[in-house]
Parts: sequence; structure tokens; C-alpha cells
Amino acid sequence: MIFNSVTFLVFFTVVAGLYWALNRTPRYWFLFIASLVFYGFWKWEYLSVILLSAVTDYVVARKLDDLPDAKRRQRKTWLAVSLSINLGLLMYFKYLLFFTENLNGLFETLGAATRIPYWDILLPFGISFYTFETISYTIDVYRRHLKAEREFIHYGLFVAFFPKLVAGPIQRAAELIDQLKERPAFDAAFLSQGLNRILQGLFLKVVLADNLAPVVDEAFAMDPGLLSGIDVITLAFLFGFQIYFDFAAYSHIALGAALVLGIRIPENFNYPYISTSLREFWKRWHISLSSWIRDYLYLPLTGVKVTQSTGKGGIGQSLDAQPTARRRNLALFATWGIMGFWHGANWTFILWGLYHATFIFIERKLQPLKRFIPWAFRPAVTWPLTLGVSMLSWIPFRAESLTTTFQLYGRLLNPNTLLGMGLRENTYLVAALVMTLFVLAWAFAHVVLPKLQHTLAWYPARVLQYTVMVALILVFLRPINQFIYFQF
Amino acid sequence: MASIDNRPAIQPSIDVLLLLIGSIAGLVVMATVFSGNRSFEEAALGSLTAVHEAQGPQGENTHCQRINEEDQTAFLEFVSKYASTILFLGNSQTHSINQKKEGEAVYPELIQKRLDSIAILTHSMPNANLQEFLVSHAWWTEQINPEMVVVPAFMDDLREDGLRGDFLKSIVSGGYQMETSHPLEVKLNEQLDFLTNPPSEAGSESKEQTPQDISEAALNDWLSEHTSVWRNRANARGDLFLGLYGFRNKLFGINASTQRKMIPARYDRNLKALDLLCTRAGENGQRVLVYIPPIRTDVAPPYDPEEYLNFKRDIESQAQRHDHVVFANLEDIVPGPLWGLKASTDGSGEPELDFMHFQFSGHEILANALIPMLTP
Repeated sequence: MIFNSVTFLVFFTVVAGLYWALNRTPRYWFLFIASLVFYGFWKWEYLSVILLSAVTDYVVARKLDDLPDAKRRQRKTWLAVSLSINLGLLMYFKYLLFFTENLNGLFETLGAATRIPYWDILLPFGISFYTFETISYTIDVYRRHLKAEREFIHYGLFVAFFPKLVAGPIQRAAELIDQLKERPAFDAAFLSQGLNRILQGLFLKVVLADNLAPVVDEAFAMDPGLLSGIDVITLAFLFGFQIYFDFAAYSHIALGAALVLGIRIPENFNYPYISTSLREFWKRWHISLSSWIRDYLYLPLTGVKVTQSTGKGGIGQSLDAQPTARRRNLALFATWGIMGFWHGANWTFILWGLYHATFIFIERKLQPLKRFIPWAFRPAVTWPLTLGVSMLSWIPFRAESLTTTFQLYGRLLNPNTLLGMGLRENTYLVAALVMTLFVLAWAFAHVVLPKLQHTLAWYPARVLQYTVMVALILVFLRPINQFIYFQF
Repeated sequence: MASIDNRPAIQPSIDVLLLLIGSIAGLVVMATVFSGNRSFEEAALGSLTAVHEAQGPQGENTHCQRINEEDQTAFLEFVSKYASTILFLGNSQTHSINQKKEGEAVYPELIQKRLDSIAILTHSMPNANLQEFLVSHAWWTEQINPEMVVVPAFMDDLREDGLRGDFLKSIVSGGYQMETSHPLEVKLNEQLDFLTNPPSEAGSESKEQTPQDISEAALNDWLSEHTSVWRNRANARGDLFLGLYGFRNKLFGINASTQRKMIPARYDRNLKALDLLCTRAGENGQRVLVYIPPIRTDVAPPYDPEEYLNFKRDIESQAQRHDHVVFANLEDIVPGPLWGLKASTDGSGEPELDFMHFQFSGHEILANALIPMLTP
């Protein structure tokens, strides 16, 4: 089921009502079944994949918990079983076609007659998200950071909890299971905040992201040879905002829906485009993924022993030990290559990951130069640079192929094709408008709003906000575009 | 009470109340401000210009904008009474009369009255582009195979792009695909397929309906049936976008006379579409008339003069590549006083020059100019 639909609004109203009307244990079973129904509205057949992943890790984690540290080999075997099943599912559903295509391409290049047959496999929504959650749970139990959950309903809900099932935020088991055990009581503060977040999310999705989508789609469908460098920058900014509104919308609705049910799930976005470094950007963008990647991939690759699982965002942080620069750099590039590949089974995503790794590497190297810039002027230099680099990273993320990606970057790097306007006038206007509104929204939220909240003007302002949002959501609410991150 | 997003807390129940009040106000706003009583096309045309679709001698339906099943049936019945057929393609100039008075008609209807042995059929789409003409022509060729096709090439329409399912209803619903030999036709077929089989509302790329699709369709039908607010949402979206255009125009001082630039990619695709249309018409033994339509020439047109000159040259050279195509430049046949005004689009309140839609006398002049070129 997708959030931007009447079906979801009806479903959620019924589920939230019955959830609070039920007693506590039946409430969780009801929520578990509702979560399966939510997923089944897309393809009920694929529920088996979620259940397989969940049951595997439930059983394996209990084994890992029960086995003493002395039986290290057995514990490792059980961990391998869990990783094999989870990564095997991911490999089969998400990457089989990619490897088949590339191997067949290689055979063709080598002149071999061998061809691997193609299998028509539909990617289950959310598989990258819930497999990461179950993997992190098993690893945390293996590392003894977490006790295995004995109640299947608590664990099952951690995996299947519908607000974050399809596109995150990627949650750590302890964060959700502890809340379930606390058995949250109804709280009007959660309800009001939750509804507010749902409205914000729907607004971002149906009013902003869905209306940017046709502009972006048309521009990316154009022959790159007819575009100028300015056009490529405009495209990058437009898609950067489309994907931000789209994905942040999903996270808002997920957080809001969970809050209405009395449950907190972690924030995933925090105005990423105001970042003054790429490191900061990744503490503000898809926070739950970057913290996951740091804890379960980057830090282990650097050789740092992870002693805790903080759940806070950011890649490139080290805890206690300091790995060598060479190992850190290798880990950086390997992590980002994998992170790109996690997003999609295409070379373009790997390039996107390596692009980020390269610029983070450059940023690290240039770090000492920062002290030559007066403190007060630093944001004026670092913000536009970071914004430009992060926006241009979206080109391979959105382009159909590596060829198109390089053609588009080529327009930008060639002085002869830098200037010119090959897009409709409104496209540039929309890009400029969205950028301006984003900065104004940040300033409003951080400067005006805190002052406004203590005055009487808060109340009419709030009513006005809801009025505009509800009216526009009702006008634009159509499930015409799935959330971009569903495909990952 | 502690705030859960680190902002100073206000009484949560008051916030829920504010949300309730805001939601009700939002519904009221939607029902009143965005009433959506006019279609987007009507609103875009302005109050000084009226839509008129051409009719046959007995009042038959011979002109459509959207090609639905009704049009299709009526057209087939109409052409069966005649030995030959001419298909007129067009944009809003073809179905609009500025300052229309009772009894006035558009040029295809005037031509039909004069050429009583030929069936004149018209398919005009607001802001049509030549790719849409290519698809429309291919489909009508399969339906009625007209003897001749009349294609206006507006500079404005070469700024448009892609296919709009709303104006190709029967084509889309029937799952029509053009015979292709050119990448542009392949691309347009892909668009047709997308319009015929839109991605599942639940986002699945699969063509089969998911439970979400079924429930969403049922809920939408129910809401549309029981609430006018829901039913009018498409027009409300149109109202909103028109408001945004108005705001943009006011902000940047844009009006109907402001110069607009050609968009290279769209221009190239539309020129190619014209070439393909002429080629396909030739393959089917049809004659083609390609003309540069009338535009106000007593004032500077809203285009870059050099681009407009190049545009006319490009259209003429495209037409001249084919033996069965006649080209005519009719840009200056309708004198300035016969053009009209349109309501302000820049928020100034002052009426603006309408470069696209002329008065009835203009339709008479255009009909007179076209008639000699329609008969072999």
C-alpha cells in the first residue's frame, strides 16, 4: 500500500482506531496482521519473503544468544546462516538480473557462445530495508550488544511494522522492541505531532514531489547533446529536490503514522541541503542508512571494533581506535561502492557511490585549508560548494545509463557547451523557486517559528498552515507516482 | 507536557483542535476557492474567446478535441455519406472564435459548407504539437484513410512535447500502436503504451491490478459519485496552475506579447514528426497541405525574429521534401483589426493582444485561402 492514496488514509484511520481500542497483547497481534495486510495490498505473495527473513533471524538470534562465547565457531556458523539467507534473498531478487546481464555482456565481448537465461523477477518492495534491519539485529545479538528477543510478536513487529516497512527509516531492533515492551499509552501529544507529520509528508509528496516529477522526467528524457552545462545543473537541482521531497515525505508519514500509534521511529532527514560539508550532508540525509552503513560496514572495514551501536547518523566517524589512513581510504571507497550498489543494481549507482567517496576523500584532504578562511565566512564558501557537489551527484543516480551520465557531465565540463538554455523557461524558474523556498523554509523553522511559538500569533498561523496543507493535499492526492525509494 | 520534537510544547489537545479547524477550513477552501467549475482549457482560453466545434450540414458531429467513442462512431457515419474525406488537424485556433456572435462558425465548418461533396473532419487539440498530429493522423488513416490531410504548423506548438492521453482517448483506450520505422515513432508508441497501461497505482510495473489499484479505484469512484469537491479536483488543479502562471507573469512582467524562445529538443522532435507525417501520408496515397497559420502581423510577433524566420524556412523545406505535400504561408492573411484581445495574463487587468485566436471574419478569410488548395 502506498501512503499517498485514499486507500491508505482509510486503512490507517481504521487501524489506528482499532489499535487503541484493543487490549495490549491483542493490539500487537492486530498491528502485526495489519502490517502484513498493508504489504499484501501490493503483492500478498511476497509476504513469504518478509516472513522467511524474519523467522530466520528470530531463530538464529536465539541460537546466538544461547550459545556461550566459547563456542565461537558455532556462533559464526549461525551468523553465516542468517547472512546467507538475507543476502541471498537480496541477491536473488535485486541483483540476479544485473549479474546475468553483465556476465552475458562479458561472454559476448569474449566471443563465447554461452548465455545465462534471464529470469523475470519482480523486486519486492522494501527488501533492501527490511533485510538490513534483520541483518543488524542478528549482528547486534552476535556482538552481544543486544539480547535476542524471545517474544515472536515483538520481533515480528520490529520487522513488519508497516509505517517503516517499505522505505525505512531503517530501525534498530532495540529502539522498537523496547518501546513495544514499555507498552505505550495513548498520548494526545503523540497524536497531534503524528497527524502533523503525516500532513507534512503528504504535502511534500503530492504537492511538491509529484509536481516536480514530470518536469524532471521530461528533462532527463532529452537528448543530452541538446543540453548545456546550465541545463545539467538545473536538472541536478530539480531531481535533487524531487528525491528529497519524495523520500523525506515518506519518512514524515512513517514517523507520523508510528507516533499516532504511540511509537517513535528515528528521524531520517534534517534539511540536508543546508550542509556545509559532505560529512554533514550524510548526517542530514537518510540518517538511518548512513548510521547503519557506518556501524555494520564502514567501521568494521576500517578495523575499528564497534563497541556500541549508536544509531546516530554519519559516515566516516570512528569511535576509539584510529585506523591507518590507507585503510580508512580503502574502507571509504569500498563502503561507498557498496552503498551505491545497495541503492540499485546498476553501474550508475556504483558510480554515484564512488562520486561521494571521491569528494569525501577530497574534503578530508582539504580540511586543513579551512583554517585560512575566516570563521564567519566559512559557510559562504563551504555551503555553495557542498550544495553543488551533492546536487551534481544526483546525475548518475537518475540517468538511465553510464553513457548518459558521462554525456551529461561532459556538457558541464566542456566550456563550449556550458552556456545556453535548452529547457523550457519554467524549468529554470521552478528550480530557482524550489531552492529559494527550501532556504526560506529552513530559516522559518529555525528563526521565526521558535519565536512565534510563544505568542498568540501561533494559533492562527497553525490553523492557516493546516488549512493550506489540507486544501492542497486534497486537490493533488493521487497515487500517480510511487515513492522513488520503493525501487531500492 | 514534553514536546517530542524538541520544540516548546503547546497543549497537545489544543494542537489537535487547531488541526481539526484547519482541516475543515481546508475542505471549505477547496470547495470554494478551487471550485474547479471551468475546465483548464476553457480557463486558459480566456473569457473573450469561445470554443466552437465545426458541424456537418445537418448539424452532424464532425469535429472533436478528444476523440472519444462517440466522435469515432459519428465520424465514420459522416464520411460514409461522401466519396472523399479531408482531415483537418489543428490547435485551439481551429476550435475558437474571438468575440464570437450567434451563428458564427470556425473555418472547417465554413469550408464544409462550400465543398459539399467532401467530408471535412477535424481533430483539434489545445496547444497541440506535431507529435500528437503524427499519432492522430496515423490512427485516422487506419479508420477512414482520408484523401488529404491539412496540417497547420504553429511556432508556439513546436514548443510543446509528448502525447496527452486526454486528447487521444479512443486511440489510447484501444491500445493503438503505430507502425514504426523511426526512433521517434518507437518513442511515441512507448508513450501510447504508457497511457494505455499506466503503471499500477500501487507502483508496480506489472500490468496486473493489485489490491491497492482495485480499492483505490473503488474509493475514488465512490467519492466522485458522492462529492462534487472530489469530482472537480482535476479542474481545481487547473485553476491552481492558472493562478500560478498568473503570479509568474505578474512577477516577471510576462504577457501574451512577451517573446518566447524555441526549445531545441522539442523543436527537433516536432519537425521530425512533421516529416514522418508527410512520409506516412505519401505511403497511404494522401495529399498533404502544410501551412504556416495566420498570426498578427501588425505588431511584432512574440518570438525571436530570427528564430521565427528559421522556423518558417524549416517548415517550408520539410514540406518541399515531399512531392505530395503543398506548402502555404498564410501568416499575414488576417489583418490586425480582425484579431482580438484576451483577458489579462500578467495581473495588470489590462486586456492583452491575442496572437492565436481571431474573430469570425478571420475564419472566413482563412477558409477562402485554404479552399483552392484542397481540391486537386
